[in-house]
Amino acid sequence: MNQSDDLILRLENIGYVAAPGKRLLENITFELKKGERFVIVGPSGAGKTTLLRIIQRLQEPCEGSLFLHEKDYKDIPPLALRRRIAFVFQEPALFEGTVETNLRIHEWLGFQHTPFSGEELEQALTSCGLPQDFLQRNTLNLSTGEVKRVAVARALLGKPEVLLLDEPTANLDPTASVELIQTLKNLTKNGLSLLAVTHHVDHAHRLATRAMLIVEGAIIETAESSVFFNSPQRELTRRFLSGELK
Amino acid sequence: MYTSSPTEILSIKDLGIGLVMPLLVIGMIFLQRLKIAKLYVYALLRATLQLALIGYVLKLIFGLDSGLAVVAYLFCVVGMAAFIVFRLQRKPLPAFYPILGVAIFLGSFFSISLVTQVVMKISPWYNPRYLIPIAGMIIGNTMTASALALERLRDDIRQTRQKVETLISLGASSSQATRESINRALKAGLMPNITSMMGVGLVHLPGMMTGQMIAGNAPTQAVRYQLLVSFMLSAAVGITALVTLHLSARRHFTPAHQLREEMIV
Repeated sequence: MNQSDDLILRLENIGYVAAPGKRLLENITFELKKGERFVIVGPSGAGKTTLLRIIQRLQEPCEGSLFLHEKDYKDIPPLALRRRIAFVFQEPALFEGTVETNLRIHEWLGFQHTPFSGEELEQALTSCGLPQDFLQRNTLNLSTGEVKRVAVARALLGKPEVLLLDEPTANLDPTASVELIQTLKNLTKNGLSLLAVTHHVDHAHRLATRAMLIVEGAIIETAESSVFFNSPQRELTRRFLSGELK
Repeated sequence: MYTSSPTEILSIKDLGIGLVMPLLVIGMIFLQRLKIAKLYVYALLRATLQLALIGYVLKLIFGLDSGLAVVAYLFCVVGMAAFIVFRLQRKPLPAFYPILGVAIFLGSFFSISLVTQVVMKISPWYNPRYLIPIAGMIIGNTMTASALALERLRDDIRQTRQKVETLISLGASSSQATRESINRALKAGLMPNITSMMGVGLVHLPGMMTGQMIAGNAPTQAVRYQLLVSFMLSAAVGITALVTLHLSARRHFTPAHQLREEMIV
């Protein structure tokens, strides 16, 4: 397979200004390949969430361009783009009702013309580390970790090529965090690309195949995971990994 | 049989007698030092002044015998109605004023046209004796519907923002993402009209029917007029609420179905 087939997403000089004098992102350029687990780390307020929102086109960048399979975002219908690039928010919102109601949202939206079979729904749950009998659970009674897993399962049923995750381990205890990270790693084995943002260094290290540090909206360093976390090239990266930057 | 007829021409003295009750209410509110007292007095004075002024304006329009004058007057009424509803919003955003104008116009136009031109067949088509009071009644009711519907929609989208954006991020269009909000806002907008229709005849006799009976028409004939008005009002209110909600909901989003931050206030 040649390298161009592997390339899913490309960002070129993305910039974003929230208000006069308040620049959140500057010259963000990177690529995401098929099956990759690319984790963006940085202190709170670095612009990471804004970047994810721009990638799913929930916001427009002020500068720069984005490409999906080398096709300019402007030439891709926004609704179709959001089907191909799924996004799980830091605090995902589940709809009232059962887990099954939430998983079948794609049918309600008109994207799934044939209703999901029971097996497909159960497969989505088990791939996210949830038991098959979870379908009839009421969403009001789920733990934070279970909510996140259901949100991931819901996103995956849309068959996206890329999954964006905003602070996937936020508000999870250490055990739940490790379990979720393992689940996410398993998901990329079938070619799904993952792009996650987090300020949690250890979780980023466990999950990433490649990592990038953003501080005050600018890229500091990008490298393969082994290099980034074990022998970072930039002083600022070393300081962030050691916990000096929050 | 009823032999005595009520006073047909009201004098200033008669109006003064009628004013006694609201003045008593104002007195009671003042005694209790409630803040609403000033607003109550302001509203009463404003109503008195507005009605006095409009009496002279209508006298002028009736005298002109001009279709253009009547239409111009009605357009002004629609514009004023939209402005009043716009200003009543908790945080008026300029984008909503034209939406309200279009919604109130569309909701009122079809109902007014149907009842005056097709059912009553008024002659000439602009006869202000019929067109102006009927239009005023219908436009007044559409104001309530649009005000309630818009306020509820804005609150609902703001409060359910996370769910709305979740739907958008799952690939929903803005209309899909706001469907539930629109449903709830529509219910709020139509509720006064629905409540009124539920109680009409059992609890209250509406204005048209009351006016008809005071004018000497038989109650059964008055009921027909009132039914006609009720049908037209419910249609006007429904159309206005629906147009308000769909245009306003769309205005909350960009063409790329992104929620506009400045609309969530």
